[in-house]
Amino acid sequence: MAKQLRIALAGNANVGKSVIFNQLTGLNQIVGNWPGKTVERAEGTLHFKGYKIRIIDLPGIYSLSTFSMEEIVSRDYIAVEKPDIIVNVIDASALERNLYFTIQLLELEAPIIVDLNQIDLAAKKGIRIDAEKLSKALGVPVIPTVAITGSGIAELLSTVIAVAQGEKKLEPLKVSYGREIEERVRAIEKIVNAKLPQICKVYPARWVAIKLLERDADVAGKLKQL
Amino acid sequence: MHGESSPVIIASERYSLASKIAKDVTVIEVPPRISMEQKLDAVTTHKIFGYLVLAGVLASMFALIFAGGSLISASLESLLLNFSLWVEQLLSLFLPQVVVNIFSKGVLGGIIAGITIALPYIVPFYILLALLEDSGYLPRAAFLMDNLMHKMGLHGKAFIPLMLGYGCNVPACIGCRIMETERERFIAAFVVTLIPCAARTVVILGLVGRYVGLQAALALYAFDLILVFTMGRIAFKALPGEPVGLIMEMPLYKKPSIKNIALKTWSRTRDFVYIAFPIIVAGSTLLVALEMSGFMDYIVWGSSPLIAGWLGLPVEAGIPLIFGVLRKELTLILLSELVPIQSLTAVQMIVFSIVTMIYIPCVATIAALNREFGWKKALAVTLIDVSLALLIGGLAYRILSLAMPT
Repeated sequence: MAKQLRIALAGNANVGKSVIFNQLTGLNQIVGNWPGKTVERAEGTLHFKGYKIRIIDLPGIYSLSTFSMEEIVSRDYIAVEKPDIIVNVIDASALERNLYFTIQLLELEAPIIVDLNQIDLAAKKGIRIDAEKLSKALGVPVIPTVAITGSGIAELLSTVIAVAQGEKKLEPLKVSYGREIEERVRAIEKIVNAKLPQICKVYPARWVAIKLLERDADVAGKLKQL
Repeated sequence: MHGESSPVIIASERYSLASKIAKDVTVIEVPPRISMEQKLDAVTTHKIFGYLVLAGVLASMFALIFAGGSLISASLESLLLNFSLWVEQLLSLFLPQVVVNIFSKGVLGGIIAGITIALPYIVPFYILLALLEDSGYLPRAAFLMDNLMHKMGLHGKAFIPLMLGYGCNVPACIGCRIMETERERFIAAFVVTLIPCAARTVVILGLVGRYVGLQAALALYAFDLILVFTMGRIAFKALPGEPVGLIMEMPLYKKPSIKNIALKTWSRTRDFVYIAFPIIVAGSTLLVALEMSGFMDYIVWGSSPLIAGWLGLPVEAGIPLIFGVLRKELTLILLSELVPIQSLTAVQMIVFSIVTMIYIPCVATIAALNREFGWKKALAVTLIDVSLALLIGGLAYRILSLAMPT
């Protein structure tokens, strides 16, 4: 039997994520809804280097508002279902805004590979991104791609497998929020760790602490239900 | 803490980190000069030219769909009708006539109805929509329409499902998913059901446009737009909740990939078939059964005070209106079979078209509403639309009779 892998595609809307997804899966995809939510869910499979890879296309994040169903669906999938690798598709021509979401993904402490997409559009704008430098800064592999032509897709998959097999190690960037916030985060983290072991099985305690400090309604609601 | 709240500090720390990393790894190679895309962008979001371009894009899109669609639809329909007659004859050889009738008129009729709407109108619509989406034009259209949409408590993104509604209400209701909150999704879907879809356009143009005049038909569309805005405002005021602002990024213009457009069209069409077809077939079978068992006569008799008394239509017009629930262009086809169209007055034609335009979302749309919002809201929208159609139809009959005596 082929070895299996589960990959989730995550990213902002309009970064070419669905094109990447189509490149990876072709017609082998099922489009449906996230259970109980009216957010589209697409899933597909592909075979690569002896692996059977299941790919979930997480909904594109449109806005940066705290309440966006797309964002909640995405992070819950990552935390609860714990896919083997998360491929974070980012738009090379709008790097700064896309990195905001990448930083939030890193906080979920999940294995991430960054797909630096639309490098052709960026080049047209006169922007070149140093992928290696970005990879060092984030502590995760960064693979440049042009989704429309399929360039870089094979390397992306090879990297996914290298990371899954442990050949490539990730040393994700740790975000620090300055002394005052960090003190609070640590205090809440301690309480979460001690009092809410069920939550810590799913979400990283530090992440829960940060979300609580951000007054995230969804996380607060989940804690109330316990 | 610096006088700022934690959420603000956390967000701004993330921003500054993102900005620092982005700056460190970015090399600006050539001084950005004005590219083709930027010029295109400037024109299509311009305060005046932007709207001209938008109007042109929409007009040519619908002209293309309707001109092409009606051509394909007509030839497809005659082809399929011959096929169903053939099946009917074949079946009558070894099945009782009642069963044959229910099968051919109900089941086959339903499938034919679905195909003649889906293939000629919906597939081309999906292709053009995917083209607009993937090229990056749609967000710009939404941006241009933002002000107007805010007048009814929605923001620019709602323009996308509303526009979809002119093609078919089913994908439009599903398209309301792009709205941020449940409340906005529902308001958008509600007003979508008031948008005349391709099938209703067939009735409006085929009846009022052909026999009364094109101006009258256009006036109906203008009236419908006013209605959509009024009802949107009312729903916005009546439903509890806060309006949401529009944060939307403008992606660059890019060349759409044919593969992606084909995939999108395929998966959307498949969705449409799954939602709409079972309902259309079941509904049409039920109606044929009602008709053959004689129940339909009671319904017509029962509804005559409403149809003849309140709306001023011939009594027989009740039947097309009931069958129109399956698909709206059936109303015109059946009406012309039951009543000689020339015998209708201009007022009657207008009233009939108004009622058809508003009175009920077709079964496929009700199914889509049910799937997206649950049966209670689907039922509520249906009841509101029916009452609204009857109210406006009756008023129009009285006002128009005074204004245009026959």
